Amino acid sequence: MIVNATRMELLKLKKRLVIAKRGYKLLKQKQDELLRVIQEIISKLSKLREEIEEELINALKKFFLARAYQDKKTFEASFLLLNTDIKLSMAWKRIMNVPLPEYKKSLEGELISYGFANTSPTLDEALKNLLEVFDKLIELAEMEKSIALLAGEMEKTRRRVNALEYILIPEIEDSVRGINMKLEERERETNSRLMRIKDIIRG
Amino acid sequence: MNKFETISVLDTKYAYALGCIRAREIRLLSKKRFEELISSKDVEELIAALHDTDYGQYLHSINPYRYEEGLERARIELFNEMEKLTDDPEIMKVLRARFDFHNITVLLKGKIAEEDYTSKCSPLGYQSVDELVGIFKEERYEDLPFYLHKAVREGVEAYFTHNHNPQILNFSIDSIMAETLTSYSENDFLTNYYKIWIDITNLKTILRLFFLERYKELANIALLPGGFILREEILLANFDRIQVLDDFYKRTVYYPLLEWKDSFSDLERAAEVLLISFLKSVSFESIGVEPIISYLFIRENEIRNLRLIFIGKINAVKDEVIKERLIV
Repeated sequence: MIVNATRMELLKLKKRLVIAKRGYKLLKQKQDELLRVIQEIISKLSKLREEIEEELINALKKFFLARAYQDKKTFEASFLLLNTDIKLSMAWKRIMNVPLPEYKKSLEGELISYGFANTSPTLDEALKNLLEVFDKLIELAEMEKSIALLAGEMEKTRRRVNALEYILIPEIEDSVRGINMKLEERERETNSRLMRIKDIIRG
Repeated sequence: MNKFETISVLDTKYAYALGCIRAREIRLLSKKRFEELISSKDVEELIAALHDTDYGQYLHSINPYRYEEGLERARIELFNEMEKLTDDPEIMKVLRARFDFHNITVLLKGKIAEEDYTSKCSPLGYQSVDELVGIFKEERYEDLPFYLHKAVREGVEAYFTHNHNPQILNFSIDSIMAETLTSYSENDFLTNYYKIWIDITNLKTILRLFFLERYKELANIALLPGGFILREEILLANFDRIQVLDDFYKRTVYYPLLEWKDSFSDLERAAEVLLISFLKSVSFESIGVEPIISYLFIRENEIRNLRLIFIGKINAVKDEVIKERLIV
């Protein structure tokens, strides 16, 4: 860092150093908190993923078995003319000033739009289970997106922390040290000049 | 009602047909054969294992994943054969009627959605699909047989008066179907079979409505008429929870089914076993058309079992799960 070796500059740099160190401390705390939040979500995420996998397998198994009850045409005809409408809305919430999505599902109409005479009761179970898994899938998507956004923010914070820790603060400290040395050097120069002048006057 | 009605048929005109049925019954797939099929490694091996059965000719030349086409061809051939053997258009009309009702439901939904759903129509109906498509296209509904005309009229009315709910349309058409199946045929065995089927469907419907928490709302529309247990009788019982069903069904043949009220897949299997036991009660009759009707339904069940094995193999369902669902 090229700076003028003056007392004014030294005072400015010292102030910047104090601010940089305070910023570093705050960013470090933010980084730690982001890491904690991400770890918390990850621990929930892995549990949720396991639950979804298990429930999805069970629901699909029921669905396939219900499908076996009818021939292909009758089965497909059961799902003609549906009056089910699933809507997905999104809002934002903030954690550590990072905007994270909040998904909300709403079901309009009836989930089951077929008659009971030629369909299997297992199909009702399968659809109900699939709808429950769908809720969890939405939660999973919300968590995964949150992790991606938090990780992005953490990466940004880490770069700032590193920049402060390894570049800005050492550079300011170097400059402060350099200015101090220069000022001390100048002081010694003045002293020795004064001593020399004193000697000449005495001589 | 504590037992099935006695069937007494004195018709000897089916002597030749019954001989043919006896020969065909030998070729029905046994439980052991089904278990061998289930143990097939994959769907290709399954098709190879079916080579020497009645299904080999329909499945050998097609892509294994399009097994449904082969099974449909087998089913069409089965109905054609039965048509020849029974030589009674009236019986075939009743046996094929459920497919006619399926077809008009599909065409009606297509008409409402302004889409062409003809590909979902079944070729097994008594009325030809082309003819039905023509009638729906030109809206000549009065050209339909009276029971189908009534189903279309009431289905449309139910759909538009119940907030465009397609389920109500299905319930309405299914009700007319149940009425037709149990009142049109003069054959007691066939009528009784459909009555038992309706009773079982109603029992399953009650449990399904409780599962969906919609019993109070839909029971009077969803329950089918025409069974041994009258719809009105069920509605009068005014069930408020599943547990009270035990008292209602206690003195009927359907009571054992309630043992499985907590598991739909087990209930369904038990219900099919009950229906098949009724069908098998006439298997050894030496006169009458009943063994032919019984054979038709048993073969339909066999095709359903094969579909289950195909679906199981394609979707990597465990062999034990397929075996549990098998109805033999």
